[in-house]
Amino acid sequence: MSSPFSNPKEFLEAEGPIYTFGNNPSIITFLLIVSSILFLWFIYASYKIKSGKLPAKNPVALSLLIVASALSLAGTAYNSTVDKIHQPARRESRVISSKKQQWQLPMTLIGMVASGSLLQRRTKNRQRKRIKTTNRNQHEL
Amino acid sequence: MNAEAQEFLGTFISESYYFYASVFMLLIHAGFLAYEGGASRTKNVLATMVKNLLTLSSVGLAFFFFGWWVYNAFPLFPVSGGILGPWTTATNDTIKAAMAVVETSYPWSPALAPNTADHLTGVFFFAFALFAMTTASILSGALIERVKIGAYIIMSIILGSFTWVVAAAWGWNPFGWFYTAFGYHDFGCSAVVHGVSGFFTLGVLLNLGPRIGKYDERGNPKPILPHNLPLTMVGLMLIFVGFYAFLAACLIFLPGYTRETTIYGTPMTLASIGVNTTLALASGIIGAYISSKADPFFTISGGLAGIISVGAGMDLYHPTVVIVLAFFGAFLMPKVALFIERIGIDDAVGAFGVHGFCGLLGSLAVGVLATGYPQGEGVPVTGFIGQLVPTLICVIILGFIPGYTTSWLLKKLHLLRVPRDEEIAGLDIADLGVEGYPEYSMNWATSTVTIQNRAEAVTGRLEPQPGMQD
Repeated sequence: MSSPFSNPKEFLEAEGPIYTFGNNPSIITFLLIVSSILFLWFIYASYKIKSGKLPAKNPVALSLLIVASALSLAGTAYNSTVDKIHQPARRESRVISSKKQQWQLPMTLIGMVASGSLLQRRTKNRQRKRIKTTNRNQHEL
Repeated sequence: MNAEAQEFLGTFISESYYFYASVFMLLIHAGFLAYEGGASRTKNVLATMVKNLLTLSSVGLAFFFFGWWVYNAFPLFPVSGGILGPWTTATNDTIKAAMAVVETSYPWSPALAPNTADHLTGVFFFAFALFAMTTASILSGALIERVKIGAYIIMSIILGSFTWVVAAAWGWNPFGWFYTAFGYHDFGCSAVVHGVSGFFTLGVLLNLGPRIGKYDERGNPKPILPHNLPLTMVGLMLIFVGFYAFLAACLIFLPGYTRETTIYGTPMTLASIGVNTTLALASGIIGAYISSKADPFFTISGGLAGIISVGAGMDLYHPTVVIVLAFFGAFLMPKVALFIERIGIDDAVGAFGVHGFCGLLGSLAVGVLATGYPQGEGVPVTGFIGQLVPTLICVIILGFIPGYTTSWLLKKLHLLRVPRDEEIAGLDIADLGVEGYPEYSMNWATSTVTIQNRAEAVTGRLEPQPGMQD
């Protein structure tokens, strides 16, 4: 039974959650994992599918990278939750630090992406410089 | 604020809520107009759009003449009572309560006319009329480019103002015997609207036959591409907007109420409709995108397939249930549509896959994923058999059989399909005498001449003219 209610009165006068499997969080957790897998499959497929054909690139490495990133993020979230549960005495300071972490996480990600693109740009600039220098040298010759 | 003003405020909020929800539902029709117009070929674009406009007229008037009364008069028939009307004598409390509503649904009822004593019957009529038009519009897309307008109008009236309304009376009315005898639960009308119309459409398509050129000599399907896929996609986006309003209008909140309920009187929240519709839309698009290998037409239809797949239990499902179920429904939808095409049925917009199949799935899913919910005193709990039997009645008795029978009769009377030469010439010219894109043909002619000129210039037979270089 996916209903958390046993009689009409309980359901019709319910104050609070009325959703399916409300009395069975393990099923909700399982469905959440399935939903996440579907979402990751979608990201993987968005690289893989091109007009109904498979590209020549190897998508397995990409999907492994996505799964590894997701697991690492999930691990971070889990660790911060576990810390909160096991150290109630230091709750306030933990909340502050976890808020700080929550604030820092996207910033770190943005920083990583930005530094990555910066590095790419630098590499491109170096390549351009090299090409320019080579061309100049050729003209001078 | 005095008590009288407070009471009026409650009435005004209900009146306004259903009024604006219904106005937003009209966007579904703007969407269908663009969706089907874009999906047709250029020679049929105007006829397709005009057919859509006529749905509003035919179903709008028919729903006033008898559809609204059918919804209120049929809930007890044939299981726990007769068809309620001026001939009915109230013998028990149920009939007395039902008759109070029936009397407001006659076309001559003062409740539908400007009347300061009744603010709500009119807005409920408006909301249900829009439901009816939506149901009939599902039929229109599948039949484009070959059906006679008159035949379509007859079939849209039968579907939109009668068979769907009987399904709603049995499965969506608080007095309906699907609910009272089986514990049937179909909050967002998966079977009651989509199942009925999808299977009605299938019945009609069997008699209508495919468009000329759809199948080769060996019977293999050939693609007939939409003339304007971007317009089709914009149309579906409008349908999505209208769907939020459609589902919001399924909520019941009346003056004096202290909580929101479904039409069955069970608790619900508008917020859950916001969350679950959004997730169903997102997950459905993903499912169809993967399944169809990024086909744009199926991908955007996947959003609709997702919403319909979860519609029946949307008021109860946890969001994770919605994501998985919408994905599953939308993933299978393109496969169903292609199967239908392979067996020789030309469904121009995949209406059966989206509405028929996903409507059936959505209704049955409640029996698996939301089973065991108690509803009212003396009403059975939700369960698989309680969903299966009414769903089959919806799709077969109220959907497929009336669709097949009506179209068969029209076919025998030579009133169903346009003549071959009209179909080849295009229905814009044949039915309306004008082209949808008069300049389009001129441009085509001009570009043909330009290409010819270029070819001649290349071969040296013509001096190159200014502007020929590009």
